[in-house]
Amino acid sequence: MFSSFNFKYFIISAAILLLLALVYAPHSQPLYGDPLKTGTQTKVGVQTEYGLIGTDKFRIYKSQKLEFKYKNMVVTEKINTTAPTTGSLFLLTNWLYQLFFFLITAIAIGYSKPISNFIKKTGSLKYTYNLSGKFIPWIAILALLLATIGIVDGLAFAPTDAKQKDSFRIIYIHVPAAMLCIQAYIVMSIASAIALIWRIKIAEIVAMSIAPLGAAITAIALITGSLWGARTWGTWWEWKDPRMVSVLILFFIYLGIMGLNSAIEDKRTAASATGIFTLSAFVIIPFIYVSVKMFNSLHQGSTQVIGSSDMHPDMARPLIVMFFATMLYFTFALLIRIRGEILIRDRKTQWVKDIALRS
Amino acid sequence: MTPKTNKNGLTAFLAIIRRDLLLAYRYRAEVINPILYFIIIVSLYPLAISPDPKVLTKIAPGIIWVAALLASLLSLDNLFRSDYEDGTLEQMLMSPHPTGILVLAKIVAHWITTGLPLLLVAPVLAYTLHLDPKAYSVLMITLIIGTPILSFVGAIGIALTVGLRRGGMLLSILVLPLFLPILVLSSVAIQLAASPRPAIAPIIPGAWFDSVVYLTTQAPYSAAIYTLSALLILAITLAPLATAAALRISLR
Repeated sequence: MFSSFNFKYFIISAAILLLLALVYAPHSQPLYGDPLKTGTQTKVGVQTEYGLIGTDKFRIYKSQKLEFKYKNMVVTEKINTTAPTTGSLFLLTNWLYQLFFFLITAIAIGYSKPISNFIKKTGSLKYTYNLSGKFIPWIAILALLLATIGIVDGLAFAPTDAKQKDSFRIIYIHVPAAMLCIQAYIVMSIASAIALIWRIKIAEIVAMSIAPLGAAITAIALITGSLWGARTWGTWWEWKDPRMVSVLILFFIYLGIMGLNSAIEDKRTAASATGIFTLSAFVIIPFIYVSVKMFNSLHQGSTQVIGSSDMHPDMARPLIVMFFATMLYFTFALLIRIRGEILIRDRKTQWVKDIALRS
Repeated sequence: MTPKTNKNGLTAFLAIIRRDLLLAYRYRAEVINPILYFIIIVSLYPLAISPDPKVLTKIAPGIIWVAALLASLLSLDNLFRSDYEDGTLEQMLMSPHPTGILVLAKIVAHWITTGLPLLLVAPVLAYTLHLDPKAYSVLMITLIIGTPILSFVGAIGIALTVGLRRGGMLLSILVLPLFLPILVLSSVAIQLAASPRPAIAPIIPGAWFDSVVYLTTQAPYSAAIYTLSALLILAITLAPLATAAALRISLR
């Protein structure tokens, strides 16, 4: 039975089931939702008001007042709908799109000679060290330039929000950090998978270097989110809020990865063990995405910034600039860590000794 | 055992389950310890927080789930430890059968010896904590679905830390964040089942299908149970493979 059993199809079907559950779950009753909605109910009246900038929250595009009749009681309920782009169908299409993108990239890399040659070369630690040394100053300058533009544009020129006044301007730090802390985890998982499958040293180094930076950027996201929440929701920390708690779990996972990495003495064994844990803990990432939709949350749904956006373009522009600035800064810090790690790993070779003698 | 090599994975699976159950039967104290631990943790809460029935009714789901989580975390330490120390684990990894199936057998046997007794004790403890009568079914459903996930996910952590000398604290740091979503989903489902809401349609012969539909799609806690079930399937399929890979790394 088990010898002829194909695990591959089983795993794929399980992954599809999880995806379906995560997509379907938001459509059933939201957890913490009003339980009265499940009873036999008759709609008495529906009032709908649309607004670009929200009545209660930052960005509510539709506000409905519903009246139900339930056992001779009239229950009034206010339903605020946030930006429609958080819909789970959108999430699914977005994931499929990203999967497609990765697939195309992988095929392109596999077939094109110059790219595959370049990747073979980056497998050499010395080549990566020298190449990243050339890039680092430019990345730093670009990051600084973009951050200056973004911060000045965001703080001085972006219009004030109708509801939150000037306190919304922390968005220009919070949102890039929050996006990056998830993306850093995804990159770390991909690097760990490469390290586990092909046993490439540089992938191990990348995966191990991302963990502390990811923890730092997650801490920034949590702290700025808490500051923002203190102004707009009136609370520093709310245990009921799924977005806060799931990002806190991500922070713990980053710390756990760092702890596991430092507990094992042999560096290559540590990298493999950490890689397996990283891939196992990847389950948390879809939860962070869906958490806002799945539970009733204080946190607003994410707003689409690029394309058909309901955000004012003058507000969105600095956000995009700041996102690129944060990403570049992250790359800069990551490269510095990677270079240090390369020197430690190759400390017994001649080229590292030459560098040490030169400086 | 006959000397002829039997390559059937199912035979190996059943043999390992039989061996582990036999071992558990011989060392009965190791089976009873997690249950005692579970009961003691649960009894700490009323003493520490408040013996008031109203308060206890409110926090009962959380107490039971936290206690179940800690009990399964501590009992996990025995999953590979003795096999690692006497070298059985290395022999297991060298056997011709896929390691994933052997690991799956070990986890299933471990759940039968530690998870199943918790399920038997949980309703009694819930009664002492004045859990809302409406929530018993959901408590049992979440425990049946949730405790295997704890065993499977914890197995990955214990396989990674089995070779380390001071792995205990690290195991908690690694595994507890992964347990948190399960804890949240389960206790939210139980709380929703206990909250005042329209009564579930009674299961009557003519309308049994309606009540099943209500339970699976309309009930406010169904989203949590869906997600838990999906996580269970994912854990059963992927966790043995990850555990096997982690064991190979730990024994390298």
